[in-house]
Amino acid sequence: MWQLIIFAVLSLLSWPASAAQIEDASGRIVTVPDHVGRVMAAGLPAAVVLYVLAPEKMIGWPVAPRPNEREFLLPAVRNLPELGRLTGRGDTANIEVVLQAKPDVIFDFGSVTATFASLAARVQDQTGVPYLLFDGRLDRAADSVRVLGTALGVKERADLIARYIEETEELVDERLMDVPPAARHRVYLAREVNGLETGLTGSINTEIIERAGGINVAARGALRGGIANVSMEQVIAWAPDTVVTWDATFFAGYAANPLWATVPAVAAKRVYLAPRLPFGWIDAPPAINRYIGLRWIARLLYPDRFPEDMHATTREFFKLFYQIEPDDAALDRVLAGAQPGGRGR
Amino acid sequence: MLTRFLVFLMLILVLAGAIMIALAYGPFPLRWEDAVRAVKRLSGDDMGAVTSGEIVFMRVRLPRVAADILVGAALSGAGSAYQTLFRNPLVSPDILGVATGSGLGAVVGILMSMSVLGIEAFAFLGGIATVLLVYLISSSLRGHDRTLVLVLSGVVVGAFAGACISLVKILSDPSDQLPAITFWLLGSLAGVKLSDLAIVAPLVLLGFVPLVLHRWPIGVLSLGDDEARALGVDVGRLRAVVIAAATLMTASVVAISGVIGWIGLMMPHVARMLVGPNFNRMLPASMLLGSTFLLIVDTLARGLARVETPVGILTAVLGAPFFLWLLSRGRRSWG
Amino acid sequence: MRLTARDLSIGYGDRVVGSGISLTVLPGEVLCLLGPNGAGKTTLFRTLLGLQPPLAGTVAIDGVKLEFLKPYDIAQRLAYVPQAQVTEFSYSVLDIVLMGRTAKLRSFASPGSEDRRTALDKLKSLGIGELAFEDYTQISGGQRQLVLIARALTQGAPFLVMDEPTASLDFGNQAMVLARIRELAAEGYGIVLSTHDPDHALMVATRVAIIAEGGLKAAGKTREIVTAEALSVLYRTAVEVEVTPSGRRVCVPVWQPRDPPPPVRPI
Repeated sequence: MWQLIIFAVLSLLSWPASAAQIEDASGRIVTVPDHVGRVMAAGLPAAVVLYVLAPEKMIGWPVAPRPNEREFLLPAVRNLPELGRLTGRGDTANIEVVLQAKPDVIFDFGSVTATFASLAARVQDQTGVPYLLFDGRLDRAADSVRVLGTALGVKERADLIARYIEETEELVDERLMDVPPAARHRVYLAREVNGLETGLTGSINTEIIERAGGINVAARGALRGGIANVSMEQVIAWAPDTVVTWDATFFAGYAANPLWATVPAVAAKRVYLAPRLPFGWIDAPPAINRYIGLRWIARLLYPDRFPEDMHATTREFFKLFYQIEPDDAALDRVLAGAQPGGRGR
Repeated sequence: MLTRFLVFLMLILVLAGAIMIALAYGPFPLRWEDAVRAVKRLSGDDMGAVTSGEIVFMRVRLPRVAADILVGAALSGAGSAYQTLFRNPLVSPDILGVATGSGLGAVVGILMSMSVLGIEAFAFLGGIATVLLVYLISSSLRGHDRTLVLVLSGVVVGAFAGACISLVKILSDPSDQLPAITFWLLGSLAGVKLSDLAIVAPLVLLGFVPLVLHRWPIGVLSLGDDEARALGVDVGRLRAVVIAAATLMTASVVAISGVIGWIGLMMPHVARMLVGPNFNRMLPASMLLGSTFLLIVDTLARGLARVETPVGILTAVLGAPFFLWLLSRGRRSWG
Repeated sequence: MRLTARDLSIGYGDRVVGSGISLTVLPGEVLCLLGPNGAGKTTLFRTLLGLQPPLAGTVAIDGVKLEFLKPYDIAQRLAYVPQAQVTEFSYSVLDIVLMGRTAKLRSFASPGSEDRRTALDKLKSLGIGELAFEDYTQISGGQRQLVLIARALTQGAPFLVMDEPTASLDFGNQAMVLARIRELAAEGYGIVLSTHDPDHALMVATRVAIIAEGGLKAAGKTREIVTAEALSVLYRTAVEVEVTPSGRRVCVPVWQPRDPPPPVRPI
């Protein structure tokens, strides 16, 4: 009983002078203060979105960026402390540390199942900090960005980003419209050091490849979309004409493996190392950082449809999203191993 | 007599000390005033705006400390009862599979993307169902030594449940569900709320009461089925009562805390070393010890690094050497 | 007050260890069971105590069949002194003896000061009062046996069932326990005990039953049953029963040289 009283009293007293009611992707109505100055991202996908929309409001990273990634992040933000992930269960953040950092809002980008919705509610109950949940799926990206922009008070920038996202999607869709299914490339995503882990069709890990007009050879059949371990035999049977990976060890070693030599993509020298700086271009994390990956894969698979110079596209994206202008040498480093037009290995 | 009383007094004082330390220690710089404000607010005073210190005290530390006490006591109490019932000092509360079964229930709940409450309910039901299955299997098997048959059934069903957990892990989504499953199985009290405890505490009490009421005949059970029956104990019925009580206590706390091992195995030992194997004394002593131990370990779990360590890891990492040290002090027999 | 077994068949499952066993024990009587190893004495005891069901026949106390009594009720009438074994946990001697009071406690109660006094008294009466706070697992086998007898006495039941109570005792303690058994019988206890040593039967038993080859071979007053012929057949060796100058009967195994030595032939 006393717990109800304390909660009621606390809610009344913490009612800000002016506040907005935001409905998040899990259907919860969350009260967000009008002025949001300090924001915590509960996971890495959310951190990417926060960095893009409002880096000045970041108070920390769920996972600290690696040294080679920091070069491509704003100086003011690249060295913020690591606070840990805060998804409620399976999290690493210490709640007291979070409260010490005094966030005005916490949000997460990812799964919006009942589990995570109730976890979000619990964390909000426990900390008293509004917790918003957004759907991380590609088709919801522009909407989520806009809603988040409103909540964080950065509507204009959010609009800018959302428009870029929509325009990019339209561009890609339009140019791919007349590519017949037979001409579509069959792509295999090779994960892990042995390349035998992949994302099934429809999984969040490969959706950008599928969006870019590639056919994911790893059909999921009756299984849930997601990661699966496959055998070499299965890969050979699928006979992909393109292989994409972001595992540098696999990329360096697959050529020496006679089994991989029988895969058409390897014979045609169409194995590509996806860039990962500052955030993975295809996945890791699965957030709006993938839109540059969308352009990259589209150009990789259908260079005649996407003739724009990759360096230029990358520069434009980095400037808009990450607010960084890397020089040519830096861009070369980003795109190493990733050049389309036959410069794959 | 006096020394026994002093031992209990010391245990209570140590527990009180551990509570104080646990409430005071943590990454957030909690001040005494915050605690005072929180208490005053409880009694209805208007204290103005809520400070984050009060939130940390009322919503983070206090529930956690209460959970530590409850979980530590429940696991130790169940462990004591089982070690006495099965006449074996190497028995843990999971001997009949309740923790593994709870784990299976929880991971199935996570796989089905249920709400946290649903996951906890599944965990609870999983634990109860597993022990029920073990009991039914062992009842239908004919054999002289009922205790042995129970333990063997528990081992078998527990192993099967463990295999099912592995299967669920493979079926789960590696980016969202698998980390949640792994973390749950390692045991953690990070997200516990007072409302969770409001449900779990009465369940634990419900299991605890029969153990207390029957404490004398339970001790007599440790002489063996024949002798106990000849001394007047209804062995079959009492065994069922003890199993039901210990299972209820364990399943209730595992549902909110995940699988935290070692406490139920070790604390009864320490209790025996301090107050002897007489169940009347061993039960309360082990529960006091269990609460104290978990308080200390969980305080470390949340304070050791900037991020949370699952407490189940620490109980094993700290528990194993502690246990070896106890053994090395050369007790001739296990009591 | 009488303990009766009627037409008892004892055993496990489909394995019959003994059949057609009938006996009666009255207060003040000592019934001694004699028989070779494996004849089923322990199985018979377990059946008499209700620890296992008879395959056929009944056991009854004062006409009430055991199957209608709960363990708590049986324990108030029958006390068991098993073969002493080491327990898993280091209980004190007093703890062990106090467990005998279980059937006298009200529901949910634990032994109180009255129970402790009784327990200590019984320990003293067997000469082991000073062992009360010793570790039960650390005393000698013989002392453990005495502790179990003390426990049975603490139980306060009118019938005592003792499975080879003198087995691990030294000569002095054996004599002491046997004397105590006679005293208990005189105090009104009804006692059933088994023993390997027929001398003990002669010393304490009012009645003797011989259990061998799957049944009750003989039962009756001690002097009638414990005869040289019966013992020789039972133990498969020549035994004589002799009367000592002080009037006590004792069993004496007869030396029998196996082969006569060959006569010495003069060369």
